Amino acid sequence: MTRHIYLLLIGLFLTSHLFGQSGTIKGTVVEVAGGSEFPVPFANVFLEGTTIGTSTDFDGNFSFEGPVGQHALIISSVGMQSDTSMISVQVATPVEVKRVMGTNAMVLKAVEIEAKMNRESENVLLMEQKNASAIQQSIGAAELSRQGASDVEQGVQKISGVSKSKGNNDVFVRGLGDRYNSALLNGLPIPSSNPDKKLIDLSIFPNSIVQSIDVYKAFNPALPGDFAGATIDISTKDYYERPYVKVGLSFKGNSVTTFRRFESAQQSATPFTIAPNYPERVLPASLEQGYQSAYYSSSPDDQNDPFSRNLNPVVSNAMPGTAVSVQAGNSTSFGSEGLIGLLVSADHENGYQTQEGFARNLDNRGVDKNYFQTTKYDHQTTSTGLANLYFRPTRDHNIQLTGLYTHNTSDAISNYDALIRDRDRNSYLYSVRNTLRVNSLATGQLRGEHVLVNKRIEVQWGASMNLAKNEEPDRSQLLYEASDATKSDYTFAVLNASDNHRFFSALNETEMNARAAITWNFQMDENDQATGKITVGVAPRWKQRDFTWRQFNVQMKSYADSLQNQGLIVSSLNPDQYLNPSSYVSGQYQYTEARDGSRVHFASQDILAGYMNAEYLFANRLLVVLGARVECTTQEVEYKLLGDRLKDEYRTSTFDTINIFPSLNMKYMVNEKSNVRLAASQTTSRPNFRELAPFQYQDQSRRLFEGNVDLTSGYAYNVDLKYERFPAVGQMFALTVFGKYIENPIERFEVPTSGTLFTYFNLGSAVVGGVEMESKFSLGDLFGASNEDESRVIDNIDLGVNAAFNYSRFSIGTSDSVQTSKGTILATNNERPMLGASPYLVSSSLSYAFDFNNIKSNIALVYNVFGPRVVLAGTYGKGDVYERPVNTLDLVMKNELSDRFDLNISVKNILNPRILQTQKIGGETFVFNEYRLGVNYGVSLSYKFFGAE
Amino acid sequence: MIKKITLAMLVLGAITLSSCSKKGCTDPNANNYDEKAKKEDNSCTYDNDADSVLSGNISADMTLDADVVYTLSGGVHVKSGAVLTIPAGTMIKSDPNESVAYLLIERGARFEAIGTATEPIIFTSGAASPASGDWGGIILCGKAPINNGSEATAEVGDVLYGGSASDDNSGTLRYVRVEYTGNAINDEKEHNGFTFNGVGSGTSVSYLQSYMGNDDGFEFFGGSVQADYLISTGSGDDCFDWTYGWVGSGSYWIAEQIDGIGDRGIEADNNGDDNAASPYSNPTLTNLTLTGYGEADGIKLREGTKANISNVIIDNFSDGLDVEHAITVSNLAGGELVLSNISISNVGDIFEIKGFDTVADSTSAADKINAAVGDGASGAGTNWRSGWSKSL
Repeated sequence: MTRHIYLLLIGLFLTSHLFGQSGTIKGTVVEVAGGSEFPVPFANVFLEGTTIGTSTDFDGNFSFEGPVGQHALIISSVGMQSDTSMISVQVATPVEVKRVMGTNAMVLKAVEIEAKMNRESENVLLMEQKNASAIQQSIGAAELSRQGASDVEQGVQKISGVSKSKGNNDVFVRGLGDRYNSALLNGLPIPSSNPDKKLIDLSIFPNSIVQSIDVYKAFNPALPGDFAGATIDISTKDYYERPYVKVGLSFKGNSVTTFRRFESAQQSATPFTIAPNYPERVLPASLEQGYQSAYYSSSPDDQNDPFSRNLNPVVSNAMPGTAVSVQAGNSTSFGSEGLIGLLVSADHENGYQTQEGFARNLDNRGVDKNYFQTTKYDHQTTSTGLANLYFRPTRDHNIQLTGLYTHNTSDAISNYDALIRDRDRNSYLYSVRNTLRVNSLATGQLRGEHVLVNKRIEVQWGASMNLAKNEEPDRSQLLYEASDATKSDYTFAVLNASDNHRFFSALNETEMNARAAITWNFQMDENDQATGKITVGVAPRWKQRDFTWRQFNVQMKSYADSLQNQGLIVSSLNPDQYLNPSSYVSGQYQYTEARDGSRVHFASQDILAGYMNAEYLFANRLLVVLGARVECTTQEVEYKLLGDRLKDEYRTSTFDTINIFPSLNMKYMVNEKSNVRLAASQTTSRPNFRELAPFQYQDQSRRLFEGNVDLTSGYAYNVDLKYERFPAVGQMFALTVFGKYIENPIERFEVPTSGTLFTYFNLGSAVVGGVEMESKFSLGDLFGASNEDESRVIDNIDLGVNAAFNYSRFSIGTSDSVQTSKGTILATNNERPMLGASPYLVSSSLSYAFDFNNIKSNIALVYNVFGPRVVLAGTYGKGDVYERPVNTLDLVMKNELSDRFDLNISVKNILNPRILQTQKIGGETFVFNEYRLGVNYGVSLSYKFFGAE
Repeated sequence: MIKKITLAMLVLGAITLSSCSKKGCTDPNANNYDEKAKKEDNSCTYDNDADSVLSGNISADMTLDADVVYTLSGGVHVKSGAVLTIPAGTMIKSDPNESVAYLLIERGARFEAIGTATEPIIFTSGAASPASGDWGGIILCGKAPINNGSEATAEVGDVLYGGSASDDNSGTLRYVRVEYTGNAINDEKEHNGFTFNGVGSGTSVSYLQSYMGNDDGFEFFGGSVQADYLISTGSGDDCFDWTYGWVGSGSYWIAEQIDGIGDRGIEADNNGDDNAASPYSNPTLTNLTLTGYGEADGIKLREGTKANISNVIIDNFSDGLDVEHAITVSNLAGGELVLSNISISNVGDIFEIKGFDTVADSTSAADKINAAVGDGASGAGTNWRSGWSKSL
């Protein structure tokens, strides 16, 4: 069969350029068959002898910059002959080139340069979304960058229905919080490095290592069955085709932090410390070797305070945040089709954030039980390294080896100036906590894709090993009390043994997972496309966690006596003035450690999954995908309770299930530009380790959080109906209606006991539903078709709007007082929205691309808002606590100063709104918690080195 | 099979990868203690307990022998249906090799600890040099009503208390002394000497002493138990404390503090989240002597409590009597918090009406306090504490 490629050069637009003249080369590649034209997607278009080029989108369109002059424009595509034509980039004269070619053996050679599809591009991803058999939404590196998202966390918020809580940093999808979402890295599950979260902190993935983010809000059997909100698949970059090195440097400022008063721990990392290890915070050697006895008590005879770290914070002015990054890569070809590609990337970032505000707890008449004026100084570092080796022996086979390491630290001084109503003796307290959190994650992945038997069989496989660590070395808490509101006579609080303490915890998690899938394509049509597909896969997963904590209370009764007798007052809240070697030796304070059994626990979760998926295209219009996933799960927690002895055996709580998760995905192609999709599935929602772990964590506002080993799985029934339309390249409109019923959901509740204790239960049921809208247009599209002869400003203004309207109702039961294994839950409302569900979410961006004095610029204005959402369920007749809507407005300007220099400027959180949580009590609305994050300013510069081809 | 093999590989891999911090048994009291191990791996083995060791759950009736000195090791729970009987003169010491020791009587269980004035039952520290906070304390959980839900979780032991049986019977405690109790549970909480969680009026409680405990001497969480002849000596926090709707009664209570240690003589609450929670705390107390060291309050009545308190001596506190929070104050004004025959000496403020919220009727409430002379706990003669209790 003879194939023809026609090249239509619609226009060559000329502009002047910094290093000589350049112009935009725009065009469309079409194939002629049976007298009709069909667009050729993925065709490679480049200028001969250069690295300058691009690939065509779904509609065969392409556009790229090229220098002025005579060039050979090469167009190639898989299965077609390559075409070379001479073009002259000089004037804005429409050119139409039409050429008919015969078949020859040169085709493959041209193709080999080309097999790389650019998943970073918005247009390619849109086209993928259009063609996909499952409902998915994707965002590529190009769009992330244009919208000023510097990491994956900011990136996913550009997807409809996705938002982030300012309060606890959880990512919410369709109003479903952390526990309903999970992450994959290149298709393989990746654990969280934060023990309190199920979803890995997405901000540790800088934009520079991301190729694309795929968000699956509808289930398909290839995804883990623990699914209700979304599964987020982060694809890392694979390799650079040509020698490439890019270095970047950026600075960040914050209006409430930078150059202002900042407190930090004495041994804080300097801005350029890559991976701080804080030797002063390591458990002293004299204490680290197991436990010396069940009850440890240091004594002055030790001669030295076993802890050498001084506790008085250092006061300085916060420096601007800095970030450095390097990306490099290359590829080389061998044989007729072989290729080896490499990419390495390293990023290091550090930043400072001051957060001032207040928090309180009220009784049911609106009287403060306690009130905290809070100031937090947080110094954070994030280091990420990625290496990817891409090996392609032939076009039909590729294998990739990926290594990822991330290390992030948060070293925070948090001051709570408190008024405690129930406080014994003095009501005026001041607590200072210094918490260093060190999270790290090392991931190794090996994966491959193979096309066999003349495209009839496709095999995909992968395996990964993940080691996550979370440490809190030497968290220190000091508590002072004053007798009256003048706070002129602070002394150490000594009433409770653990008022002043040092805390150590370490968590290790190992996760191994693998997957293998084989797809049989059958009934090939005349274009060699399969009408039907059957996929069978397996995906085992093993996860283990251990957690150890130790706490050394500072026993200051002797100190307190001397304080009383000598009238010593803690001046300037400087603890080192009193907690120092000489007062230690004189016996004024000592450390005690109680060792009960609850200090260690182990947890494991093994899942063996198998799935099958059948796909068939009826009458070239209706695609039906029917599948099921079977998961066999064993979950075990080994733990001890507070009252258990060292010599008692660990208690074991085991939970085994076998589940079948059916799913149906249908896609009806209404016409070439629009689809209607329907997806229905049943999935599960398993308890995560934090919810199970029988460990009590206490926050600084004296609230306790504890897991419940008796939790079982909840189940979700999901339905999605989506209409999507792709009117033209780069344009998209989609409307989704979804509904979910969650049976036996796991929610967090306050339980009655002395003090404030939260734990988790499988209780009641939840219904979630909503409408989501996504759109991407240029203003030119909206205001009439563009005149091909002239370039209008509005054609260069792109508008993206995503909006979601959610309904959610969590019902605890028929009564508002429910009996549980931990007592009666006195919920004020037996029906309320789910924790974290907003009635509406809007994210939008307006971007304008323009050239000015040879500088290519893009300005984007990005706006997000979420509706009020419940963050804490009310008890005792107090209303639920709502996080109020937060309006976020960012302005991001990207400038390509030249081929090599990029300069980006951003102003984020321009509105700097009050971030508020409110609670209604007796008809009156109280502010429960309030702070501001400040306006962020950023400037970054990058430089690219290109090697010779 | 594949799963097994892969699991084995995983374990192998995990061992290799984590070998930088050696795993093993980290308890020096275990038979296989590995002094090089830095990380517990759940491999410790131990000898079996001797018969004189009380540990774990007591699920069948058990009677102790007064000739044996027992060791209380870890959290000891008497389970529903079981009766633990302790004869007069028995001594029980906490295990010095464990950081936790407490005795908890669960709902539906009974504790029959009947000593005599000459042969009291003594729970004390097993440490070489005993100190406050060496062990937990004694906790009774019953099925009597509370006001923070119909059931609530106990501070320790992960068990429930409360219910609707106000005449519930948790047993008999007579002539029992606990010493050096009060080790920390967490940041907020420490063990009390005696804790009565929703304990019903069928329970018989008299002649108890908490000596040198780190936290409260006696604390009542709801319930309806009557408790007479109580002595709280050298308690690290409040001498007596109630909350969550205690409606019992008590007569002849002595609080004695040592210099520099301890908080209130009595801290009385209804419910911190809901000061009007029902049933209100509303005990009837007579014949109390509260002696402080010049700090804190003699009696603090707050968070909506009601009570009928008469014949009290309050001596040597910073404030004699505090009534705090609007509902508590209106209880006082409305005659539901009755205070009569209260002698207050050696204090800063004799009584104070205060709160963090507006108190409308504080003036009329203040008039309700009858500060006439009372003779406190010595009314029945001082001899009721001789023989079985320890003095400072």
